[in-house]
Amino acid sequence: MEFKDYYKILGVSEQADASEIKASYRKLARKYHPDVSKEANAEQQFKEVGEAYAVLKDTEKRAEYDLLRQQGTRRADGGFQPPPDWQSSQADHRQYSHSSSGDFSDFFYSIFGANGGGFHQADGFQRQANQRGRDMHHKIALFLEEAYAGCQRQISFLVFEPDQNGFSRQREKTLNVKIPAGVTQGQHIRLAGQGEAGVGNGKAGDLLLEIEFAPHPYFAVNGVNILLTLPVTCWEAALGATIEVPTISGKVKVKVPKGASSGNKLRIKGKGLLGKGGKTSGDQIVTLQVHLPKTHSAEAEALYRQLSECEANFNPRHVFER
Amino acid sequence: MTKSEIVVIESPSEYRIFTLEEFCERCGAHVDLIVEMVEYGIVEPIEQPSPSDWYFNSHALVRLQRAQRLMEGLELNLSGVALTLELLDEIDDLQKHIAILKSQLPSS
Repeated sequence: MEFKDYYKILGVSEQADASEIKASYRKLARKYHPDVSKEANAEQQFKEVGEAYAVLKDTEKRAEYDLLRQQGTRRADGGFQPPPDWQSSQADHRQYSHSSSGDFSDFFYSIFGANGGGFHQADGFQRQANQRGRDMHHKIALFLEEAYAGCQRQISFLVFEPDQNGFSRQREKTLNVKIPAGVTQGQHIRLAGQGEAGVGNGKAGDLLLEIEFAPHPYFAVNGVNILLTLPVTCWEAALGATIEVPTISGKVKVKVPKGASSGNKLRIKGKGLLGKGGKTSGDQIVTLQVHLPKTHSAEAEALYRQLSECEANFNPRHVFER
Repeated sequence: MTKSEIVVIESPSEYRIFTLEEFCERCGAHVDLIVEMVEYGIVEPIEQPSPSDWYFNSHALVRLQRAQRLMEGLELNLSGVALTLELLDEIDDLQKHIAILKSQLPSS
């Protein structure tokens, strides 16, 4: 079992007083709260911080932990073993109220007891004999093409479930999920009964999957519209052209009007994502961007010189000259 | 950790809606708390007649459970959590907007 250094986790010294511990906990809780934090592994960190605080804020538990910290043996592999005659004065007669953010580690239970399974008391309400399992939340990143056409994805997550002895154990659960076609960013898909197991005859919770879009190499998404920046040459822009562009459902030809400029937008109707309920469809918005070659041949330069003479009246900087 | 299992879900039940009572059960919350959360604009029922006729969608469920985690983990009160969620949404929107604008910049 891995030894948990609660002082290190909270970033306080062994001599830290209660107010120091509380202040540090509050700071770290804000930093790692999984609903706020952008840190990698925030959820795990948040749990560790909560566990460390649960021990160190409690004078009795802290004293016991300190003692164990001194007396326990660390094995050669870095694992930890409590002294052979270790028995917590607090074990087995305490009910731990687990926060909805999760359960404590095996290390914690080995010191302070597992209270026969460690089921949760959600949000301060005592759980009844038959209690519905908690809903679990997960994010799933899809490529735009997958969201549009639907896809099948495998997801893995950790759940707490009672084992044969009624102890709460962490288990990795893997599901193959069929994502229906036309899901949009931020949409939730509910998988009934795939959350945490219920207590007694309570039903299992649901798994709620939030759809996220992975960045696309050239498409961007704004609501149900798909955005594409289309590079065109300056002669295509000047003379007009018919250009083949990619859309989410294959290539289509668009007409660039004569005299187009960078920033002009073209709308391809119906080539966006499906709206809510699959009833309406978004469009693809194409923004033109005029590109020039980095170097020109002598011949092209001569043509440009000629062009600058015929178009001498054009002044794109007239706004500066008022 | 024990071994994993494979479950194929054929039809994700995404458009299911919940009554106020179901909402309370799922969130382990008292009806008064949900009513207050609606008053604070933390979650919105689909239509807003009287609470006895309220229905909520999955989005509201996720949001309410998120609000509960925040309240508990950061010791926030209702107006604190309402503000936090509002600001988090705003940051999210801004970041999406930045990503869209960035994608439209000329690639140098």
